[in-house]
Amino acid sequence: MSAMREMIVVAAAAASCTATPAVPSVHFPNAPPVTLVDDHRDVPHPPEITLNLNHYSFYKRTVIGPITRALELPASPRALGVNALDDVPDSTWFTNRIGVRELSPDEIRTGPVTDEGPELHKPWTIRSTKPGGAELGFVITDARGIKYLMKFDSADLPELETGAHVVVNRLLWACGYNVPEDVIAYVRPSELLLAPDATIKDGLGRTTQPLDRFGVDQRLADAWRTPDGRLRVMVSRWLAGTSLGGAPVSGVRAGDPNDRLAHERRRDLRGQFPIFAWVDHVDLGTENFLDMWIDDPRHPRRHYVEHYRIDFGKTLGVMASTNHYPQEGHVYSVDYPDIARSLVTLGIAPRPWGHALAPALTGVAPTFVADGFDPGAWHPDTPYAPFDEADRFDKFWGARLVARFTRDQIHAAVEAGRFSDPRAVEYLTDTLVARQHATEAYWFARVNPLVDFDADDERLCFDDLAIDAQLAAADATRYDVTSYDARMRPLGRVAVAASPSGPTCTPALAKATAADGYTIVKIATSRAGFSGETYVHLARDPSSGAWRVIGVWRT
Amino acid sequence: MKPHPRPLLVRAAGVVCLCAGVTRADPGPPPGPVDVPVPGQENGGADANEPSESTARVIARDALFVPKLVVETVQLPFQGAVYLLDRYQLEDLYYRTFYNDHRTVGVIPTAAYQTGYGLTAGGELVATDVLGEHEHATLDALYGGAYSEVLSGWADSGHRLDPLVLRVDADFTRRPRDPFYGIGNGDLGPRPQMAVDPLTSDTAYATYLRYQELRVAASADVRVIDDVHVIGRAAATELAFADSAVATPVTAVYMPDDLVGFEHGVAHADGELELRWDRRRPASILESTQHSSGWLASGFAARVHQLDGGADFTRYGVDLQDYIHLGFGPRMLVVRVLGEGVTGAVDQVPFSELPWLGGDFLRGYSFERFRDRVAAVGTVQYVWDLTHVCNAYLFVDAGRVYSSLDAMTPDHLRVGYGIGIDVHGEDRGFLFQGSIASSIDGGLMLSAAFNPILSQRPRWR
Repeated sequence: MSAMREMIVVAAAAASCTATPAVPSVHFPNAPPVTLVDDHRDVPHPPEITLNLNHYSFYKRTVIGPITRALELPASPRALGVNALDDVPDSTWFTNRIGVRELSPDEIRTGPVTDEGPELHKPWTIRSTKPGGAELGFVITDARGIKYLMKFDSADLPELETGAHVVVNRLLWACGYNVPEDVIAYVRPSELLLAPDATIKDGLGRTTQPLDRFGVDQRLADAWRTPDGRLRVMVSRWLAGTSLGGAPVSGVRAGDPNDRLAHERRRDLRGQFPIFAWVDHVDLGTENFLDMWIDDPRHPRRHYVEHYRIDFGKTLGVMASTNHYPQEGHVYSVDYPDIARSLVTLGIAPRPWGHALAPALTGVAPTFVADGFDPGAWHPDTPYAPFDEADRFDKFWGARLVARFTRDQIHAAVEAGRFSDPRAVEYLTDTLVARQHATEAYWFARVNPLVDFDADDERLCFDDLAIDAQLAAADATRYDVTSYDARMRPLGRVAVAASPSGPTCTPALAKATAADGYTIVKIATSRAGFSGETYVHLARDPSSGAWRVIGVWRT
Repeated sequence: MKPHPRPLLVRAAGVVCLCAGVTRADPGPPPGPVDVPVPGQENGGADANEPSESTARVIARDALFVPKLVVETVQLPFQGAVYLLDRYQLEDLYYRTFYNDHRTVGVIPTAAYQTGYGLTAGGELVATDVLGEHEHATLDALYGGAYSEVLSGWADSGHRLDPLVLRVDADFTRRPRDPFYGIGNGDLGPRPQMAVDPLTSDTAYATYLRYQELRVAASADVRVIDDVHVIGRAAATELAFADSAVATPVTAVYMPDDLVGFEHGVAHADGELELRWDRRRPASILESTQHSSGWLASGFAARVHQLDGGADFTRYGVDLQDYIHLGFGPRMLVVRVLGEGVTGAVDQVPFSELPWLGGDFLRGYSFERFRDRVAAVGTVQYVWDLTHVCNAYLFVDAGRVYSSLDAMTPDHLRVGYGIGIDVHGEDRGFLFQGSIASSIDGGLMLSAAFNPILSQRPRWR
């Protein structure tokens, strides 16, 4: 504690003595990086519920929000919920998975699913219509009594929504987000029983009237069926706990003491941008997020809130088809600048959408393509506060997650969609891989893409993601490495050539000798079309005396 | 892609306990692991050293406070309405109040206020699945005073007789102010000093009449092949007219003796045959409007037998539409040619049966501004998207009425032009169309329509 205070004092002193410091005044405590935060503290009573007010939310976010936000001239401070190494620790929002541990393709194909699912446990009993949301669906229980949400494909879009739903469920799970256990299943209408007390739910999930067989048949009339009469469905295991509705898009949830960071400032939310762009997850209504007040598995009498992403049926270009709107992913559904541009130019100005279309394959949306995908210009359907606030560092973090998938892992996720046409699986995999490359190329050129810093007594080693992803040539890349002491006084400078394979390591660096040896290493990367700097903070471990990386600051 | 060379995060729970002003006070006892930081402590407060906002930004923000307050205040009623819609599930409440459980039978209440006419209120009883094969039945009732009434209904056979659809219609309608501008293509002029003969004078002046219609009709629509329909209709109609009590009466300008049917009314029976080839459709699943490619070719002929002894005549017409798809959105060019005519002489055909132009057909001119034995209008309309539920369009309509087919020349065409928007649902269902139009003869026409302008022209109003 005292060491940290000293660091802050040193930083403040340095900042006050230097009008424009060459080195950012950020200092880190000499401690290992935080990999887990404690947001599991007991919440004895369910916090305030977020009502699913779809139209109201749309109005606030899409119609009036952009105007008032423009008049607020908002500043965009850096994200919170980031550890000293610019990573996101595990929490009730996010669990580091891909890149942190081995994830086999089989594990990704299975994703969050913990059992064989309901397909082997028929008949299913319909308990109610789906609460909230616009799509057709029912709440069911299987023969074991396990509760699921069941959704369908519309008759004119076979395999599209259900397939996309499960594929993106697997990818987001692998990225680290909490998602429900979603699987594809097939069921005959005769295997769907109707509970005697089945009900119809309104948009807020309240019971409004009984549901009878006519009502079920009426709703199923719009669902796609296989040639042999089966319904293809997406079943999502009902999440345990008490539903609190979607996480507020900004601020925190009232009544949840663990929810300490304003959501629009959370890195794990802001950093979703390149991930959602990658899979074209445009549907970011309140109903696409769900907080659950759950029993703590370690202490059954204690509770906390866990944060989920749900409902991915409009991803992979599907929303453009269901809403008949090729602009999805390119502009907001109400996008004032685009409306003005279209009005003034009579719609004649070139537009980035609709030039390339996917092949006509069952399960593939026509707009899910790699050609013309611009990872920086992507838009969700409605403005989303964390994305409004996100900066390039957040997006770099998300792009790193995207980049960690291998083709086999992506292929396994796509296979979970159980598409009937193998060409659809290959097309979706190829397109996701191509969009992954585009994501890397875009975001790795906007932040100095150095990661995985490792220090020993002499050297500092790191990886350059642009070289790893073959976006830049090692022989055309140079690193200018300068070290400073804690007061930001230069200690030494070396030029380093990039390693063509594996980590690049500096020669022996000049380091501070005082106290714990707090040293700031500036690595300035230069190559054709790019230059950027990253500051790596080193110090000796007080217990072992070994050098270690205690902080990374990107500029 | 490559496997990551080594774990990014070494799973060692660190001891970091510097609070940096981004967290709230911990409200409760710390029952969790004591060495694990709470959210906001992840980076040891490094973010606390970020530079503060610039003075310029703070000043600019303060300057924008009042405009922001104005915007927020002005929009508050809309925000409140949308909130109420969701918070109390008003749409669902409406269906539960006015529809049966399956939403196949319901009542749509309607009310409208129009200057000069007062309030008109009523309802529509709708049944969308009468016998289980989507048989449709509708009954409308509107009342707005002694001469503003509608009682109408129709029913069809739905899918029951596919590919044949039978339909019956009946209506009793009274309207207090239908326009009459004389007969012919004449320019608007000053009000004449004395009543003129509409059959011989080209004086055009805005007059109004009361209109009463009693009609029963039956039709059979057979889908011959995919897009080709043959439609047979039979109808019996009784019309009555009188001077309008709320605007310049017809007889103040035009001699009623020469307006066929005005004094004694009209009663006729007619049989009609229409051939329709409709290949209009969305250019792709990505298009937001019902029609963005294809074409329509429709032609009809109807024989009208006057039950009160007047001469029989034939009514005929064509409607040709072409949707030229230019790009997604949609961006498209719509070209339309519409023509109608009657075979009888103007002193034999009731004036109300003469083809007319103006309003939806020849925009930029008043509703029913022109009427004569032949009417023809051409439209070129460029449509482009503003959002996925809203298109804008620019249009030019050109046309005129003629005394006969032989008289048809491009001389003295009436040309209207304007801009409009149409709003539709995400299911492509039409909701609203509004336009501002003018013409080479001047004037400015604002219009709102709840039926697509490019839908087929009704045989009767």
